[in-house]
Amino acid sequence: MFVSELEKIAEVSINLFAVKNGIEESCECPDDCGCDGDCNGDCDDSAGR
Amino acid sequence: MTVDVMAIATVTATTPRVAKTILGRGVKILSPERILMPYEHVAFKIDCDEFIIVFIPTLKRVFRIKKELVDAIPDRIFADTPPPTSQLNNLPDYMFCGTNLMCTNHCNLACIYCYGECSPKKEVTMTKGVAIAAVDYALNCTTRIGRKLAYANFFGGEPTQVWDLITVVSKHMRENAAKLGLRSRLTITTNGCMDRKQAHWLAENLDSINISIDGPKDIQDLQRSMSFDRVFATAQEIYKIAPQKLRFRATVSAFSVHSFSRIVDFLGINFPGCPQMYEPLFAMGRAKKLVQAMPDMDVFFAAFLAALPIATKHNCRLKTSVLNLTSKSQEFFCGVASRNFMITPYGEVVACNRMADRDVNIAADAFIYGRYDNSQGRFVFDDVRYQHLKTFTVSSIPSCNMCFARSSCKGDCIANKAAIHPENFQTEQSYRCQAVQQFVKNVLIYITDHGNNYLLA
Repeated sequence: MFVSELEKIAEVSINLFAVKNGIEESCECPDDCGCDGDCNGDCDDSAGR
Repeated sequence: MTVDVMAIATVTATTPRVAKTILGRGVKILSPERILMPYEHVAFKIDCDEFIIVFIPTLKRVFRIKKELVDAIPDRIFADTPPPTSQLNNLPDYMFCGTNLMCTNHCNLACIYCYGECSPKKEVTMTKGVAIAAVDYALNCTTRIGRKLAYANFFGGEPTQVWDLITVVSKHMRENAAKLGLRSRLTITTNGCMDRKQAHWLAENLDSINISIDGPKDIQDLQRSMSFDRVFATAQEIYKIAPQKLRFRATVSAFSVHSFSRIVDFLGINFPGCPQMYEPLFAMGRAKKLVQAMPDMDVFFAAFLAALPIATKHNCRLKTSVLNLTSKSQEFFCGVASRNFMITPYGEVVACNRMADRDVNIAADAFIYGRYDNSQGRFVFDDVRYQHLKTFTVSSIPSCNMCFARSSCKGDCIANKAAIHPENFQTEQSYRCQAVQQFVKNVLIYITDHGNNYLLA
């Protein structure tokens, strides 16, 4: 099945990236916290204190 | 007759009419759209009683499907986009574009749960020479691998207690990044107990200020050394000058979890638009014997979800570390798996700030993989330790293999696991695994109901 077919039968379809496109497109996050840009480098303490 | 998509891909790359001529009558020509969609993605079907959620992590897509259609949905879905590739997978060894400077283990507070057991009694401070060397290392790496942005984060203990170090390193970073044609990003994680001039300086000179505050006065004073008045004043000062730079980090205890919505509302009312991050208190460091202070995880996650509409009202986004639905990496909970370049006050290099002190955590050795060598004037690394760090990913946890939540929690915080299981912690599942699964499921339901606008997911 192709994702377009899934879209047709779904009651709700959400693209998690869509609402965050600005961040995704411009992301240059150099950090390594696993956020891949969500934090824009401000990701020192993902589980911190 | 139907011909395999890939088999006729080359032929139909021309046009359907030409392809039909070449392949002959009776051949079903698949649409160009289908032929150009060769990537396969795992689809998780999650039973939600009245409907099915189909979650495709590598496409970052969530669907709500009628229950009677579940058998029509295969376990693999095709799309024209490949699985995302994280930049974390592609960096050479020992190439770090930034550093986290644990400037001192001294702290002007002694919070009830501090994992580092930092307090006014501790007095080890990083030398300026080590801090500058770490920044130079990051600048050099950034240039060598062609990145444009280098960063440094000030951390502690309480970094503002070594104010001179912050101002000197900041100046050095800005000036030398500019000389190399790089941008620089300077951030700080602080308890907010500083004077007004310092708050003003941070707001004007740094790029992001992360203040640890656990909530209104009754909660903050109980958990964080009677510090509410000072911290709140600092946050107000920074918000006045640079609201876009301010974000909050709150630790939630068994006591405060019942006030979760009140905390979100309090921060939202006073600092609208500022992101808020919430983590449960964990029994390590000073809280090692305070197991009863850990919140029930089902209660914590339910409270987080219940607070989302309140955050939305204040235009604040909420974050908690096991919620990473949109990160490109499918493997890494954080940078611990060989990407963190954190420097302890002693000049050692460590992959996790929670595992930086051997006296506090028995498993810390596994995370400390280098040191600054004064005689050589450079950082030296233990490659055995460094390579071992690369196994600290969700793929090393057998029980996570086919879990729909793994792309969000990534196996959860490995430091917490190391505190519970000092040996073989990298293969252990999270102590809160079941609660996290239920939470991720509830978040997916929430998103199909409300969208994703105010989740830092």
